[in-house]
Parts: sequence; structure tokens; C-alpha cells
Amino acid sequence: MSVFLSLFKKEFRTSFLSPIAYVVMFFFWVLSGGNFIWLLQQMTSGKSLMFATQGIFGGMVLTFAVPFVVPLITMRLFAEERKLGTLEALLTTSVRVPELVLAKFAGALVFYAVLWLPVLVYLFTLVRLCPQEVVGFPDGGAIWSAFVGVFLIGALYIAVGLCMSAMTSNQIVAAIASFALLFGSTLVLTFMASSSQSSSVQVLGQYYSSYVHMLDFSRGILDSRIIVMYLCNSAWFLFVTTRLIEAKRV
Amino acid sequence: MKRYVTSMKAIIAVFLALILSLLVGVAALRNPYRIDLSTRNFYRLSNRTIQLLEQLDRDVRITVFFQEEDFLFDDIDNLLEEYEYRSRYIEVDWVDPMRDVAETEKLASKFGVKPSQLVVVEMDGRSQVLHMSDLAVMQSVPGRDEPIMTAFKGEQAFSSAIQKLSEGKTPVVYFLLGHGEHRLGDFDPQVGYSDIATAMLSDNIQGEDLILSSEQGIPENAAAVVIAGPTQKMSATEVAMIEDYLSRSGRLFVLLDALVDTGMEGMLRRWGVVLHNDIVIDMENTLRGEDVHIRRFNPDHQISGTMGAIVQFILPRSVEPPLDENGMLIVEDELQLIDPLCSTSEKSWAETQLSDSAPPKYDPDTADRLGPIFLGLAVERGAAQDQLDVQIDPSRMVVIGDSDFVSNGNMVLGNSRLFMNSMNWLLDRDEKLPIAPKPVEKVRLGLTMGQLRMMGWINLAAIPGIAVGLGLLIWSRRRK
Repeated sequence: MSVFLSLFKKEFRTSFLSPIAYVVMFFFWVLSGGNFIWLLQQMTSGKSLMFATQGIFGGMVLTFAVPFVVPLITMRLFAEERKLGTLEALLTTSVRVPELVLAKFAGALVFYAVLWLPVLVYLFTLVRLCPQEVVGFPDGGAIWSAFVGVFLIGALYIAVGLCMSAMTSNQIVAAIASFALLFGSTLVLTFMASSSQSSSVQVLGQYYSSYVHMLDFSRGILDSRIIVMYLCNSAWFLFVTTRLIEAKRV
Repeated sequence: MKRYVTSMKAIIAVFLALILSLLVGVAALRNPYRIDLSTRNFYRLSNRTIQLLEQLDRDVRITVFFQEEDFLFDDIDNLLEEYEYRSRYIEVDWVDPMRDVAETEKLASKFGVKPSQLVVVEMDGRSQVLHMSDLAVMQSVPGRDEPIMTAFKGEQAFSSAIQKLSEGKTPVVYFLLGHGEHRLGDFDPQVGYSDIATAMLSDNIQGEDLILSSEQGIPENAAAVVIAGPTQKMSATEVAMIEDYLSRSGRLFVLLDALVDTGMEGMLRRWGVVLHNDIVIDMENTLRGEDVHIRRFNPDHQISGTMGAIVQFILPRSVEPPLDENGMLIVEDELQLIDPLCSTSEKSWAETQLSDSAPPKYDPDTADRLGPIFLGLAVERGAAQDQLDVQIDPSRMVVIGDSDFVSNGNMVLGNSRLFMNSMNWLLDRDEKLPIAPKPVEKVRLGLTMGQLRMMGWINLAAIPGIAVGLGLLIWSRRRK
């Protein structure tokens, strides 16, 4: 455990020492801020109580911004270490590969959580701006559920990004591969879920589309089927990453 | 060799992990658990619906004819997700009427309706059609062209439909023949009633022909009798049989055309329906002259209260309750309720000089009457029985001053809606499960332009500025 904590601390520190981290942060905060301003404009003309949480968490802008941002966080995790040769050095120590993978995963997840911190400011703003006669706005239950969704989707995307980073020593290749996979799948699955004329394709899209899931999460729905899907897929990508790194050790 | 074996082991392990992951996913799909953490409970199903769905033992297919742009789309989608979760017998199909044209046409002919903004619930070959007004409470707002939704009553509509279909009863409605009436089996593109027959069938109502004779009265299983546009006079015996049926908690739907003496005038007068020998003309609400577009509906009656669409009558006649000189309703029977359903505009009139070859014109010196003119009535007798221990069903009758409005050539706009609403009222099908509609709660943020601008600075400059500041700080420290 102490090895994991040491590795995690190192990953955490490295995340915040990288200049690209602040570029990502700036980009994401501008996008989410713009999304929030659009939401405020919409709400001046009167919207349903659910609109706010769905607008903050489930909007199209963020659905397609996250698949763009996550590869920028994960691209360096293994690719950089491989390029610098520090990975091979690390693998010669007693560090176990699953610990290493989990530490990098947790470090990236914490950085991803930091990206979502402005949401607290948005929610505080909504509470302050809400007329006194409206009770229960924003919806506390829906906010908790939305954060669960944000965490699960982030976990899967980071696991995918980590896996791509473990496959190559080139950060750009890792980023492009992750972006292609995450953005492409989000686009295709959202299309399948909403526009497919075949009901079986539509069901498949609805099962895997993070856009559809985020709409449900942000209205307070926690569904075991979706949660298990995210956990299983994240675990599988982490497992593949572990095997890829272990292959380097041999 | 060792490297090859290790690689193979890794590939097999990855493959097995994938299978394990899929198996866990399938297990989760088969044993779903779903909770709604929202405090609004907008889509949370009532105990009544949960009980109904738990008792369900046959497949229910719900076909939704809505576009993604329709304002009810998300509400229906989210609610039906809860139905699907609660019962594996519920299957939901979405059809976009604009995009899935072939599928829409196929289903349009199957259900006999124009499938746009409606939901069809099917079970065991029977079906029920739910319109927008069954799903949402709409209210007109001053300054807005379109009415706004004030409450969502989807759960009440879906659950009531499922319950009715699972009860398995198909009411039989008899259409009287023998006097030149419209026939359900007539596929004539103009005067036939085959389209409305299909619409009835899609709403789980079976239509049968009926010819009255001294041996053959009105069958015991008649849920209602329809007299659709007779062109010949009925015998006194037939009228007496019909009145006898009506007075014994019967349900009668009468559609009468202008300039026809049906022999039922006296009977209808006894039931509070006054017929005049006239044709109603409304020059401001017509396209061809012979048609009259009705926009005024009685909002307080179950038949007309949810219309929401114009009805087009062809050369209609007036159908009025007994009125005094001031136009006030004369109450002839305390136990009888007479409700007008629809009326024409103030500019219309009931033309009584029908033999004139000159163009019709309102003439105050004749028996012509100025609008608004009533064209439909709903009559209910024996409804108030609070003082009795036994419950006796009331007699119900709907009289409309036109029979062509639901013929194959004229079933446009809200015509079939008026017919089906009338039919459902006659068959007591307006009763819904006691599930309260969910009011649409809205929040309006009172932000001035100045405040909005300030929010823009905070969220688009100040917060991202923190990232820039931190980045520069780290960069300068690392340089040192």
C-alpha cells in the first residue's frame, strides 16, 4: 500500500507540474464556463427545475469536450516514461505493475476531478440566484447522481487513455489514438442511440452512449446496469494496460 | 520461445478478462436495480402503477410516434424507461413520423390514424391510442401563440391504457342500418366509414352492423348504438325501441345531416335536443363554402375539453338544447345534464330559407338565427344518484349535426378526435386510474444584463484565469 501511495503522490505531483495540465484546465474551464453562461441565459426565460443539472453535466458541449480533454491528461502517463526510459528502470524495482497502473490511473482521476471543481461555483451561483419561492433548486439528489456519472465516465475514459499510452512511446500517437477512440465512439454511440432506425442498434447505443447516460445521471437516476458496465469496462482496460506493461518487464 | 509463450498467455488472459467483463455486464442486465435520487420525483412511478406492472403477464408494446424536437419527447422517453425497468413485458418502439416514413405509413394503415404526436399501446391484438391531450395538461398563455404544458399526465394515461387492455374487454358498438346510414364496411373514398372503423378497432372498440326488426331488437351486448346519418325516415316502432334502449342506461350516438326528416325528432326533443330545419353557414370559417370549421369547444366537458384541433363539418345542421328567449338553458329535468360541445362563430347563422336559389344570406325577418350556433350536444340522464343505495349507470347520448365529418373523404383535422372522444365518453372510457398529473415546475432566474455580463467575466475570464495563473507560477518555479 505504501508503494501505491508513493507512486500516487508522484503521479499527482507530476500531473500538476506539467504545463499541458494548465492548458487543459484553461480550455476545459472556458468551455464549461461558456456552457454555464448559456445555461443562465436560457434560465432567464424560465425552464424546468431539471434543466439546470442536465445543462451543467449532460450538455452536448461537455459530452464532447471530455473525450477531447482526457487524452491530453493520459497521453504522457506511460508514453513519456517509456520515451525517457524511466519505465524500464521502474520495472526493475519491486514495484508491482498493477500498483503502478492503479497509481497512474488514480493520479489522472484526481486531476480529472479538479477539472470539474468550477461546477461547485456554478451550483453555488444557481443557489444564490434562485428565487426564494422555488424550493429544492438545484436538485441535490440529481447533483450527487450527476457526480457519480462524471466519475464513472471519467474513470472509463482515463482507463482507455492509459491503455493507449501504454501501447506507444509517442505521446502524440497516444493522444490521437485515445481521442479517435473516445470521440469517435461517443459520436457513433450517440447517433446509434438517438437516430438509428434499427431498434437493436438503438438499444446497443443506449447501453454504451455516455451522452445518454449523463442525461439520466443528471436527473437523479442511478442504474446498476450502467454502473456495472462502466466499472467492468474500466477494469478491463486497466487489466489490458497491466498486461501491456508486464510484457515490457519480460 | 519464452517471449512467444508469454505473449500468448497475455492475449488469452486479456480475452478471458473480456469474457468475464461481458458476463458480469450480462448478469447486471438480468438483475437491474435502479434508484431515482432526484427530489422532484417527476418520473417516479406511483405504487398503483408498480403494482399493475408487477401483475403484468403478457407482452405490451408501446409505439411512440413523436419526434425528438417535440416538447413531450423527453418526458415520454424518461417515463417509459421506468416502465421498461419495472416490467420485462413492456416493449417500447419509437417511430419518428418525419424520418421513418415507410414505417409510419404502415402503422397509419394498421391503426387508422395519422400517427403524429400520439402513442399506441397494444396488448393481445387490442390497442389503445393516446393523444397529446391524454399525456399533457396544456394551458393557453396570453402573448403566446402556442399553449404551454402545465402538467404531465403520462403515467395516468399509460397505466390506465395498460389496465384497460389487460382487462381484456372489447366493447361492441352497433351501427344502425336500413335507413341509408353510413356503413363501417363501406370503403367508398368519400362516404364510406371504413377509416373510422379502423380507428375504432385501433382503440379497442369493435363495430358491428345492426338492423332492427320486431324479432331483432338491440342486442344485450351493445355497449353503444350509433345512428350515422340516416337519409330515410325511421318507423315509430324503431324509434320506440331506440328510446327504450336509451332509457335503460343505454348509450346512443346520433349523427344527423341537414334537410333530413329522420323520425327521431320527437324522441330527441324529449331528451332535451332541439332540431331545426336549417343549415349552419359560417363564411369566416370555411374554405369551400359547404364546410364549417369549428374552433370553439366547451372546455368543461370531457368530450370537447381536450380537443385542441379544429373540426370540419360539411353542411351541418344546428343541434341545440332547449333555450329561452334570452338564450338561457331551460332545465326540464333535474336529473338530466345537457352540455353543448361545440359552436360556430358570432358571424355564422342558421339558414332556414333553404329553397332560395340566391346565395345564402342572414335575413333577420325570417327564422334565421345568428351565431354562435351549437352543433353538438352531450346528454346524460340519471347521473345524480347520491340518495340511492344502488348504483345505476346513467343514460348517455351524443348528438352531432353532421354525419359526413368522419366519412373517408372528410376525416381531417380533429374530426376523428371528436368522434372518438364522444365514443369514449359514451363507453365510460374517460375514467382513468387515480394517478395525479405531475405539475411542471419552472424556475426563472431574474438576471439583469449587467449581472449576466458579470457572470460572463467570472466564468469565462476569472475562473480560467486561475488555471493560467497557476500554470505561470509552476512554469516560473520550474525555470528557477
